[in-house]
Amino acid sequence: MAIRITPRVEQVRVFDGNRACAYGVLLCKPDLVSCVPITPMTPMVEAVWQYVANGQLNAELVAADGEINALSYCIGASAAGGRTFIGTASQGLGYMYEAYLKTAGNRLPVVMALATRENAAPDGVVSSHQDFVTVRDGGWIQIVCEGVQEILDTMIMAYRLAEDPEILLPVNVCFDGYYLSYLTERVELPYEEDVDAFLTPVAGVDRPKLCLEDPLTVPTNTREELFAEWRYKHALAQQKAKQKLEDIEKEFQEVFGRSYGGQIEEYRTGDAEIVMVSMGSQTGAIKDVVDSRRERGEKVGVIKIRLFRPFPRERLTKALQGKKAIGVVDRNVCFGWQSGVTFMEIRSAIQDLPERIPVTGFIAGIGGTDCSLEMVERAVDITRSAAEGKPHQEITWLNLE
Amino acid sequence: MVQYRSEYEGPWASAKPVLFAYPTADWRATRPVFNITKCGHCGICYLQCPVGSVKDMDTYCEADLSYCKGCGLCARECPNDAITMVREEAR
Repeated sequence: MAIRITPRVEQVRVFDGNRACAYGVLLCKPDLVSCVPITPMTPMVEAVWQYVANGQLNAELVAADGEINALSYCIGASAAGGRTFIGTASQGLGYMYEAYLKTAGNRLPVVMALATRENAAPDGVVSSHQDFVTVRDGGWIQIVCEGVQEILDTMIMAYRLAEDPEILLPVNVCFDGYYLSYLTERVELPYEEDVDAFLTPVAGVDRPKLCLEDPLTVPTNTREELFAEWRYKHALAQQKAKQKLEDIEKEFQEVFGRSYGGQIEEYRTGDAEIVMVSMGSQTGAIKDVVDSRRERGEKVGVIKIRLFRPFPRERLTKALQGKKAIGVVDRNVCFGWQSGVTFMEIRSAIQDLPERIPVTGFIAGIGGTDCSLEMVERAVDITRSAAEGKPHQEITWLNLE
Repeated sequence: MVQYRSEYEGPWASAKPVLFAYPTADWRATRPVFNITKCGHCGICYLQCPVGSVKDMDTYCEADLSYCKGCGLCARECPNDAITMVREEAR
């Protein structure tokens, strides 16, 4: 008989998203924390620094003079073999773009928390997914959270994933600025020794690092054929990360008793005819609408994309097979397609399916506006008319139309 | 079948052939000449050299001409005036 481990909880606290993220940092014990405070993640930096001031966390703190330097400190420390943490948002992410690309290209397992925010201009210190979708091709792994407990848990999984010897890629832990960073929820705090044990498999991993005994150079000024080889290996690691996240999450569930579905969360999709696809905090509103529609006998479900990069194409195709229509609710804009980013990617992903499933796109929550139940109701109605083959609009801006 | 040439997952390589094998200073116009009897082995030239070409020889210092670009900083900073810059002859 298999031994069943009962998940144990050190204490239950009421934390906002920033504090939960900071507590995750505390549990993962990075060697270096390099942050420039930026709304809406400022309290996270304050909390981490407080942990260091109290002697709870033995990490080197860097008050960098700009985000690009902040991430460059992480690159240096990570290349020397250290575990690093950085947090930012929006304009900060834009300012560190050059270092952002190098972190992934050099295969350095930096973990970055992103309290996602709208990109300027128009100027607005407001919530959105625009910042992390803009850098989606930077080669990082991007995991999007829906709740406060999920932020803490994802931080722990992120270090395990990033430092895995088969992956060695930086990870973004994204959570909606304001909607999650300042949302206060019940959070179960795991024991420190349980997290230590969970991270043990990657603690002793021998990855290439800068040291005097065996001097290495990174990034190597590359001759052409090697450039292609390293790009290929990077792409391969991205592909491997999909299954790796599932494995890590399974193990996480055994130890801590919680799971978020791995790459995607399927909510009441089994017999659903219409599936809404979403990412991040607004998924909660969609789940509420799905519940109320289910009570009326409508077969509606929702899929939450948790792993945005690499894109969980295989699992999505499997989950969307045989559905009559798909509605994608995006909190971002893909310029050039005039849709949301997920809309465009879902359309590409379902090309693998034999049937032609109509996809409708919805843009909601831009500029920190609320993705309300009324908006989601309209989105489901439009998706239903697509399922019935009635004429409908492909992209709807729910704030405006 | 993909053939790999690098043993590393990313753009990492041993620094030894890159840093210690290729001479990188054959375009130098002037070179430092170290007078080792004057040299006090203070290490200022060792610390100041922008390319790290000064070698510690236990009782004195000397430039490794494979890497020295001839900037003259060591000669300028040497407190014992043990270093003089001389023009490289035309090759």
